Amino acid sequence: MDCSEVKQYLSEYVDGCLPNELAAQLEAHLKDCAHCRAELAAYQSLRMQIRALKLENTDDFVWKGIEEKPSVLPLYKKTWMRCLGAAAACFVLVIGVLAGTQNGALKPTVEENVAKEEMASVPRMARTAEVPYADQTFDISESGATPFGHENVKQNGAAAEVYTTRVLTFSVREQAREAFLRTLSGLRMEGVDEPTIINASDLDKLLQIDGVEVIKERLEETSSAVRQGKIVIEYENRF
Amino acid sequence: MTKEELLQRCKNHDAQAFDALIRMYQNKIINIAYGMLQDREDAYDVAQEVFVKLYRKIESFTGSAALDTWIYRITVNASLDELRKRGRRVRTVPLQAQSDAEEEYTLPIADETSSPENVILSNERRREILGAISRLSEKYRSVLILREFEDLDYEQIAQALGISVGTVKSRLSRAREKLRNILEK
Repeated sequence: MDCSEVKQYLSEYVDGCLPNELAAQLEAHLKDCAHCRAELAAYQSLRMQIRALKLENTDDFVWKGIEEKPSVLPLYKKTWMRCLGAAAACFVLVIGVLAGTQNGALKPTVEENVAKEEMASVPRMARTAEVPYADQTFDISESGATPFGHENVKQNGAAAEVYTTRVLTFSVREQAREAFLRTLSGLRMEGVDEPTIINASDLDKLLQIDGVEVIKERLEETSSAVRQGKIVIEYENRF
Repeated sequence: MTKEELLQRCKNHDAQAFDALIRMYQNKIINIAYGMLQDREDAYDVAQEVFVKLYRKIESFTGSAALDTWIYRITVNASLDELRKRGRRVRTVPLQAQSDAEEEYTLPIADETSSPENVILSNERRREILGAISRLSEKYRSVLILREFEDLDYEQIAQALGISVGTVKSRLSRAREKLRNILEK
């Protein structure tokens, strides 16, 4: 194990979560590397300092009770805000689809695309359709369709990547769960920061906790990441 | 009373049971919110909201996920809502010591890889670290706080945040790295 690998595993090691074999390799490296020992010490020190931030005494907390909660939005306000949010999302969607269409961007298939760092600065907001969501519906794709399109185009003389979203609608109630699993399993995102893998097993776990809310978050995250052009999307068509 | 019994009594709108639930979780909830928001008063406000949500939703809690995980999740989401309410306004940690930072903090170390000493943070260092945490993005802050403040394992964090264990690992590693970079600047 070299220094770069040690750096990669240090966080897990500090948590005591590194598998034994790797931990042994890491420790063997530490014996001979003062630099990595210093790194480890810094990680451990920081970890303990963060833990020392905790508030030890919160006994003065008094729950004000259910009636005294002005911060809870009344239902009509929530509904109004959701409508506004959905309308805004639809607007972005229309703009995105129009822009995508103008560039012939709604391609039928996506095999594998590699995001290029040097293109990160190319604005593509108006070219990317947002996945809108509201309470009961969720726009993503239907069986056989391609959820995300991608092409390389020339923009102001420079090469640019354009992400588009082909959006169709179906309900996100319990009965749509299987459709979601079918649609999202095999969708792999590789971010600049870290890979995120959505698979059926993950979704099953997530659905156990709070169902549709999770799906909303995942798609919001996906949509946002696509908007920012930060991710590579590989979509394996399983239909 | 076991957690299951407590939960059942709370579902039946037993006020005493809900008080017991509050006592059981208030420190955890306030600390997670404090880690997310770096402000004691805001953390207390978030805790109020969390308990309102728990009160209203507890009947629908099926028990398929652990109660703790469910509560952590509600707390993180409520904290994120509070952060979003603040918008992009830069929230700095106050220069003057907060009431909770008047005294120094000690923490027993329960980590076999660490030296068995207590960590004592000066007020200045405390503000530095809180300030650095406030500069982490939400996704990094969430995993870091659940790991360091509540000592959740990777699987629990994954469930609480609705992400994969692999993502927890990578976010935690990046969060620590970023925090170090911020503090070393």
